[in-house]
Amino acid sequence: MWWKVLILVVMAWVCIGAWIFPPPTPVRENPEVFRIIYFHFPMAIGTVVAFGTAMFFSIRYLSTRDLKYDLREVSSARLGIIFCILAAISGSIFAKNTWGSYWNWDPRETSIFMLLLVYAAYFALRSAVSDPDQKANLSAVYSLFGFVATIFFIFIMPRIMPGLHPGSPKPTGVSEGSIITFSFKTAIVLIPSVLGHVGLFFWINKLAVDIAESSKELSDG
Amino acid sequence: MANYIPMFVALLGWLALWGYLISLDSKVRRMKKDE
Repeated sequence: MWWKVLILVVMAWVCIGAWIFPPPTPVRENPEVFRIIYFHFPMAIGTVVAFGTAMFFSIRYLSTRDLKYDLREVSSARLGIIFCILAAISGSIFAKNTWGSYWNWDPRETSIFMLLLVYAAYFALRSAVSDPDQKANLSAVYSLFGFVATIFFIFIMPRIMPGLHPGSPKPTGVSEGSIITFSFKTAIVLIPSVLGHVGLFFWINKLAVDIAESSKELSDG
Repeated sequence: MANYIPMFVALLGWLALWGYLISLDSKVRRMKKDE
């Protein structure tokens, strides 16, 4: 119970902090829009944590063949997709105000799109198989490879290809000035926001699993 | 003034989401207690 209260307090702090502290950039035409970074970046981290958790439960399933881990895996992957979509939407709003267009096919934007396709295929695979054990086996193996793709698309591809996001090797002209200054005032909002979003993922995931397990028990009689 | 409208809508949506999450959490806890 205490950790839920802690998440609530942390997220309330993030909401207040994101408004009262200066935006994490020195000078821009519209610096206020940079406040979205307090939510956009943690959502992307939440995506990685969610897909990582799905992979963790897929390993647990493959080593125990217990279907309860399959339930946890699919729930984590579903939340990962939601976090991924939210990161893409918040990123698009940010991109419109910073780079002039909602979608620029920057390597990181392309990678998040590919990631959505990878996990959309995961759910397509699950819906194509009717036998529960076979479905769990196939999706557990797929989830392992899905997370390898996540690591590649989130941490490797955008760092080796030139693009607009900070962290790319040769940032093009349009991204000049978009480097985020990581000051103390930014850190005391951004770090709790990352922790709060990750905590929120675990809370929602636990709720989704509890509800799915009790409805399964009801249908099993 | 128009700039504040999306902000208030976002805030209301955010509060509604928290309200939903907290009520769902208490419902699940009650359900588990009954079991």
